[in-house]
Amino acid sequence: MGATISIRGLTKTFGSTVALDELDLQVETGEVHGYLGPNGSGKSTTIRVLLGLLRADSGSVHLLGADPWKQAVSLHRRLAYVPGDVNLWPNLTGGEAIDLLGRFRGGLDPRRRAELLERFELDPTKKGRSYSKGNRQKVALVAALSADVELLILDEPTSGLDPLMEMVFQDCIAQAKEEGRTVLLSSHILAEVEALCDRVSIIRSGRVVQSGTLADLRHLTRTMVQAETARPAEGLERIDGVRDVDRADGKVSFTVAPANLGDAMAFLSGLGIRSLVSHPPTLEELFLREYGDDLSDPETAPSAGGTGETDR
Amino acid sequence: MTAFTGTGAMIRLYVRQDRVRLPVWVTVLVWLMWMSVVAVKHNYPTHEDLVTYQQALSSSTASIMMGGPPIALDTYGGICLYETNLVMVIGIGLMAVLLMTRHTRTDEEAGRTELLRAGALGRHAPTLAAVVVVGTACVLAGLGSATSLYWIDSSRGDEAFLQGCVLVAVGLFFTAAAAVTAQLTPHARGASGYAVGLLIAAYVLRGIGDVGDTWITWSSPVGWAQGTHVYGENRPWPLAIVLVGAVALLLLAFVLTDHRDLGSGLFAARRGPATAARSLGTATGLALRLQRATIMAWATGTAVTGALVGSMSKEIRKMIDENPDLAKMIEAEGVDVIDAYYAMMLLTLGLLAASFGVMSVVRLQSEEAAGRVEPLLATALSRSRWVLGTLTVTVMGTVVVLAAGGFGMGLTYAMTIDDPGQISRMTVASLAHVPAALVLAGIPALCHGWSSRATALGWSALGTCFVIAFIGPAMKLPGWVLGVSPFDHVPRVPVDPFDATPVVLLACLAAALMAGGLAGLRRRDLVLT
Repeated sequence: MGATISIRGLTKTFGSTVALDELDLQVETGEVHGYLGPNGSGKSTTIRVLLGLLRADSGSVHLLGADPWKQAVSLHRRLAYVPGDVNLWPNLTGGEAIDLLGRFRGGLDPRRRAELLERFELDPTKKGRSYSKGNRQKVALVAALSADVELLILDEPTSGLDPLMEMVFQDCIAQAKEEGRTVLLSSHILAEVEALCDRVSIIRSGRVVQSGTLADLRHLTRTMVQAETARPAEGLERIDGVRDVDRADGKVSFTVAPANLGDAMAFLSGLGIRSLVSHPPTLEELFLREYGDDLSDPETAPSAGGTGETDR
Repeated sequence: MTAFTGTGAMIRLYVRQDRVRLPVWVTVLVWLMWMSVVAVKHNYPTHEDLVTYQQALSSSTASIMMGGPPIALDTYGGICLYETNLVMVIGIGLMAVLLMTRHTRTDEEAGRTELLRAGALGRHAPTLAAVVVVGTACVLAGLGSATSLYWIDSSRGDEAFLQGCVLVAVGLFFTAAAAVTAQLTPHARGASGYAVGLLIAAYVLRGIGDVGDTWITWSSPVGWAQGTHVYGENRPWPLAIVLVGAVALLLLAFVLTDHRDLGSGLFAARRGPATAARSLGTATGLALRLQRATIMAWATGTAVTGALVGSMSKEIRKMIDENPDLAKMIEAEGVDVIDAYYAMMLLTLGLLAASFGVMSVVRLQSEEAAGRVEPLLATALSRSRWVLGTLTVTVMGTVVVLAAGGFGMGLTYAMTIDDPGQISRMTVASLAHVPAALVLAGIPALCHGWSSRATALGWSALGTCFVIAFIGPAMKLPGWVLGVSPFDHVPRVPVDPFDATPVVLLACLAAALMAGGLAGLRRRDLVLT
């Protein structure tokens, strides 16, 4: 099994803005690869270079063993794409748009099309101008998932879906993986990537800063805990896997690795828990903690990544 | 009156949004009136010319259909109204409808009204503010037109002012009509479509009534406004009917707003097929689907225009025979005057077809900017095939639009002089303009290939050719300036014999421009949302 996507030293600038800065990315055949980064970090720009819609300034880009700028058409027969912001023709129905995109790709499976329409609860007789954002997203998803292709490229495909549909989407991706398809899933939602992906690459300001299996990136899956205890939580630091301890006003907050969560909870119980909140870290917290980014600071965040408009 | 809270703020917002659009509309409308006033004075210098005009055209069915009741056609003012009615009434009506829809249903469909209404903004404030802004534009356009009329005959200032009021009344009526249609459908396209349909129906009904001099005229709001008989009876009272109608429609719009949810319409959105027809599987099939309604509308327009012009051959002959200035203007000396006149009309049809062509090609840019090209080109559709699909439809549409005009003209001309041969003669003659029209369509195609933003240059090129064709000869521009327009190189059929060389060269130029666009598109980044 070789690499389905192989990018080395990819640079792309828009005027004076550096969207991608010496980016490396490797996606193996048959894996579901999470492409994780905050808005504006360059995810969509990477994908559009992979699709041959944008031309790389420098670096090498290989998709299914060929150059996507030169071989766009023949490569596109082997992949399906869901854009982050789906725009449909206002006077074509959703069903017509699905068929149109399918035919341009070389045909789609009508049985799977019908099944997906039902699972996503999408009415294909509505005109494009009548669909909400989530329904436009479903049109693109049904078109992509009913195609018989080796590779799915999905750019924040669930950004308009409700939690129920998000589950349907996760089932579909799991099924695609079983059928041996490769999936590149861009997202800024850590939980979605955790649920679906074999490996993850994290992009920040146009560079991939970390890449590996979820186990490799254990530090990403640490749980954040905030607790209020009857007695002060002295000695918490001594428990294995506990980090980032912070005490204020009789409350304590810390992060803990999954394997050590039980020990930490047992320790806190012994002190008399008055309130307890725990949640997986958000991407924002993660970036703040791991890379020292303050995403609310315009100096360091989105400006570097392909501009806000390419990555909504 | 909390339903109107915030109207003032909305007025300021609309004026800010329309700070270019509004002056352009008003200026163009006034300019159209001014141009025809100048043309009438130029073409009919003496009182005898005016009398000739009256004798030739006061009982012409096609002229009455287009221009309204023939009143005082032996005066400059009367002729000006007769010549400009179609353009001015439809023009001011279109301005009212398009601007009104833009500030009501378009905003609502895009969700902007929801955002504003969540603030301290009354339910009726957006509609009332839009009526104020659009109504003001109508008043300005009406007053400007009145000034033009006053210039041609300053002894009849009252009549000029009354005609200005007629146009304002028509504008206000369709402003209110558009306020109602904006309540009917959830989509802006449907809202403006209904209102424009109403405008055209009103104009046609008035025409049918005027031709037979029957009550049918009084079934149309345009008929009411023209019932003032400016330069004839000069009675202002019919304008009161129009204004009462406008107020009633506006109140109806408020009532409808009170009884519906924000974002919804009185009619539900229409549905369509759940699967695509077989034709919708190629780039050409897609482009045809997206443009077929436009092509049909343009072809109907040119066919009707051609048919009206073709039916007037006898009147035109009479008028030109008795007015040497007119004959000189259309270069009819020594040739059949009807052929000379129709050659000029075919040039106009050619320019109309070129307008369609430019509009069709500019869709490449608008589709790209709207983000609809991204999912298409992520399939096995190549950039070249995508563009070629659109260009194929551009060529087909240009041929259809021109041939429909030539056919319509030939058909009614053949009927009036009882010579069936004119049908094919005029249709074939119209096709001589296809390559020139495609050269103009080729300009935005070339620009789009290299830079999406440059595509709009196609409009500038088209505008230049309109100016050269219509005022170039009168301004005695040098030959090389006239030659900038591709239409200047088209043989003047059916007056002159058809000469293939320039037509083939123009076709090659059009193909080269389009090929240049394709070459560029292979090299550039797409514009992505």
